[in-house]
Amino acid sequence: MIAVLPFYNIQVLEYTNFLYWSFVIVAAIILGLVTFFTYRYTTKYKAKSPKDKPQNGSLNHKFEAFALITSFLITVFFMFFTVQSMKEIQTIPDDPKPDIIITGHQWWWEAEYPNSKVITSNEVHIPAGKKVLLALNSADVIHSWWVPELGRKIDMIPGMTNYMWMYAEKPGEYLGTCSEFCGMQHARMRIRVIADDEANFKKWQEEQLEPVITEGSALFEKGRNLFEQKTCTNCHAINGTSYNENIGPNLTHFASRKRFLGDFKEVNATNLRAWLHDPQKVKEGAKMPNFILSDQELNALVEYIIHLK
Amino acid sequence: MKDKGKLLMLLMIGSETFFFIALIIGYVYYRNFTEATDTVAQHLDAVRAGIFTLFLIASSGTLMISKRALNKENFKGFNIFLLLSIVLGIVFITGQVTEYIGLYQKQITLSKDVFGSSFFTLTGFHGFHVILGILALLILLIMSLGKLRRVSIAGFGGVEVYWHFVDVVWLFVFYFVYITPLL
Amino acid sequence: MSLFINIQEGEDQLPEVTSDKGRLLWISSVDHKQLGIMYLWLALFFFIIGGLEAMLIRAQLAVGDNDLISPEFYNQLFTMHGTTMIFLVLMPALIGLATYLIPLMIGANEMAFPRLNAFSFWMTCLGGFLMYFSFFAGGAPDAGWFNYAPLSESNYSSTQGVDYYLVGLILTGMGSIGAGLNFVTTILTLRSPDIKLNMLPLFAWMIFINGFLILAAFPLLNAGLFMMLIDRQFDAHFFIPSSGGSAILWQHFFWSFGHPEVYILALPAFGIISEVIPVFSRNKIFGYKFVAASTVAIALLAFGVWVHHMFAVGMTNTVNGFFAASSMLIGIPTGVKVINWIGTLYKGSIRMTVSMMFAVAFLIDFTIGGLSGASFAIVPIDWQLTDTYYVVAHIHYVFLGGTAFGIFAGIYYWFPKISGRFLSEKLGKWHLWLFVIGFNFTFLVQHVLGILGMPRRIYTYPSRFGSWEIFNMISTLGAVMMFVAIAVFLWNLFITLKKPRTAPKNPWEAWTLEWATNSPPDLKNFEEVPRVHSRRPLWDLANPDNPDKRLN
Repeated sequence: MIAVLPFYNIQVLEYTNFLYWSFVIVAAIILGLVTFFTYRYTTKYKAKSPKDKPQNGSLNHKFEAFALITSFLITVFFMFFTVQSMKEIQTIPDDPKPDIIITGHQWWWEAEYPNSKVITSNEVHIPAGKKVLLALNSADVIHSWWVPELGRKIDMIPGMTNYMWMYAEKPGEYLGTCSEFCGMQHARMRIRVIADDEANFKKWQEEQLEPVITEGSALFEKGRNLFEQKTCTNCHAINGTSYNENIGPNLTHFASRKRFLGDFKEVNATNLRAWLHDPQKVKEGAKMPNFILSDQELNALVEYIIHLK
Repeated sequence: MKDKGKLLMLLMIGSETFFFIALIIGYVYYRNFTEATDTVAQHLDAVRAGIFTLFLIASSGTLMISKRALNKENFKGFNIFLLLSIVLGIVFITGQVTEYIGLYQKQITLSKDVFGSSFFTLTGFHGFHVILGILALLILLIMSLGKLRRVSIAGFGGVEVYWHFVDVVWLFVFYFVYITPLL
Repeated sequence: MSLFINIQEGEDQLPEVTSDKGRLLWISSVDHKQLGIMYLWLALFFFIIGGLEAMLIRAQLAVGDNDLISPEFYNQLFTMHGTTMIFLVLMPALIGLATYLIPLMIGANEMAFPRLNAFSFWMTCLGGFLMYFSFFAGGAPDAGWFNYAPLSESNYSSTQGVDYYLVGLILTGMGSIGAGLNFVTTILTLRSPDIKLNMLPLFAWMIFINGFLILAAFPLLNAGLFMMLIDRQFDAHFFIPSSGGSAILWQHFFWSFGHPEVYILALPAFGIISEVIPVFSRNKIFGYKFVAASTVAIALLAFGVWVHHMFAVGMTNTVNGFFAASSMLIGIPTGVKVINWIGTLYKGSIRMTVSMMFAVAFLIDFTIGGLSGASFAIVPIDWQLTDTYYVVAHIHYVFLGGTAFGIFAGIYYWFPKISGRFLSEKLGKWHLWLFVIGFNFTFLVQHVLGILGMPRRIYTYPSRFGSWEIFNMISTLGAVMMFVAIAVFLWNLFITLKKPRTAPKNPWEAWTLEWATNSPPDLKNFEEVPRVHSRRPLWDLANPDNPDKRLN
């Protein structure tokens, strides 16, 4: 479930939390005063008859000066902590060595781990309890990476690489979303970050590096051949084979993921079949073409892909 | 200020300034804040452009002379120098058009790359303003060839300010587009 | 010394419209009053369309995983909703009120350039209808009202929609520049000789400052729009990163216009509030000089804050810090104004008319919008909340709870002057309460939605997020209330316009010059302009024994 207030209970965002609550308190006081005086004056000085005359007298202009100085001091306070927290949150080394390179595509995420050479898509695994440096790019239009509980938001701009820190204190699943409008399926470009403890993260990486399954039932074999014949390989890479285009998501260990299509659908045979049958019906506007597959072909392809663990 | 025509034109010029600043910022941004190298600048002939710049500056000068003539009610001088300003403006535009033709023959086009886009957009919008200025001067000339009417004296203030403005904008364009790559 | 002076007529006046009867004359009219009224009708027309778009959006978002509206159409809807409300509703409504009132307030019979005035209106009108024509020409623009590149470039937005958006905005932008030129020149050259600049009614003062803002801000947008049009039509590369352009540059152009635009929409509303509150409190405005000077401060600072729309772009901390500071500072002069308006209420004799109630609702809801805006100046908060529903809530508190409440206050206040009839106060109260309550229901919860992580511009959200569904449903129900409120308002307009003209010259016992004319004013506003010696000329006339301090 997405976080509820107070929502930034982690190291990277200590200051954000503090700043937000300070802001809420100051704003509540200001709004309270404005509401109180507006209400009080409009009721107290409401005309009792149409002939009613105003009482002479007006507020002292010293009050304005007082308000000016107070608001200036509040500004200084917030400015100080803003600068402090910006430093805290967004200090990137001069020669950044990112742990993960994330590329936004219309409408899915590609994640590359330069240290271990793992490439995956949509579900991003990170080690818990460790600050992770992300490098963010875009392959097409502007996207924005935002996992509220794990760090700041930063835009992914074509032709430009941004860096940010991400930190998960405890293992678990964290949801986020693309938060820059990026076209038709912007709504279904959600993020799932899975924070594992040290051992599980290592294990996951090792599993991802394992070669792809090449043998299985007859149906599986048929599906594998179809995958080639139907030009799936023109867009989708499978590590350990000669298919290495990365226009669409990397499918090497597709079935090890929980959800696909930008965290939209659960990975299972039914959903996969519906998707292959008519991508536009499942996720309108998606770049995946409709290959007009027959029932047998669908069965075989699903059998193949669902076994790519 | 009682000459509301001139006031309007001054305000509009102020507004137009922001428009040209934006276009110039675009050019400078691509050249200085991206890694791309300016592919247009090496094909530009600053000396040739400089000569045409002198024509444009001269046209501002002749327009000032014609204004002085107008104030002295020397209508003949006014007409001659106004015509001269128009001719000088047309010479400038001709220079720009021939320059464009030369660049297009060298395959440097609007759609070549971002510098082609910036160059033609910036100089093109300036050229468009020069053409509008020439039209305005022509209207003044045609009106003054008849019986010179009050309204054209009032209009003259606005058109004159506009023409000087176009001139000044060109100096900035010339500096940023032709001169800075040489520095 | 006479109480009245004859107005100076220029020698080369335009041929005057000899009669204000007949419908065709409206089309050829150069009369500032008719143009002002046409601006207001145009705004109302597009307000209904933009409102219907908003209702469709709210219907789609009422429940999760809704497929009432296709994503393609949804994206067109919210793009057009934003563009319409800003450029075709708020701008024309404010410019319309100003076109109607500025000459009246400064004792002039016309704008300085009546034909330019007509040109401005028709450009705005043309731009608006052209933009809507896109619906019949293959699809409306679908890249958001701020049209970020490269999503708005031809490779990602292949319909003609964005081209219509670009051309439409260039045209309305030219119209706005024309209006800005006209306001400044009119106020500088056509004031009654008695009126010095420091005696202008605050509405006129704000429009005067606003004129400069328009003149400086719109060319920046136009430059960007032209560049993108050249990109799309002539294969240039300004904003296409894959061929060397810059996606960020568009954002700089857009927001260096876009933030001043916020104040272009806010200042005239401040002006309306600064007229309405004193009149209905029977008090002079508290701190005229503070209000006037803070307007100038806002106008200057407005050009130095645009990067706070771009904190998430990934600029250096130094740049972000600078713009954070300027964005926080601009809150101060705005806060001063709120204090002045509340100070005006103090020891007044307050008449709670619908107009005044809208002004009071403005005070509170605009404060909320201002405060949530200030939270974006605090960069780390912005890094979380930008591009979420928190922003959606914020802009609606500023534009709807601020500017639109101001416009409604102005409409109820000046309606007797403009049409000679009173809008029904009873229906007006229904309109007000339904609208204000519905408004707060709709948008207050959207702050929470943003904090919960709901990004803006999504056509649907997973229905498994239960709390999102609850808040979105509340929001939609609030929108329905606003819809009903507007229906009441339209009904009020309809029945009022059928009544006979009964309004006296100065029904609210107001003090500025427009109330010295007939209701509605004659084609020639003033035969004679009253002498003006203070900021409240009609007060001086009504109370010769207790006039305000002489200022000239």
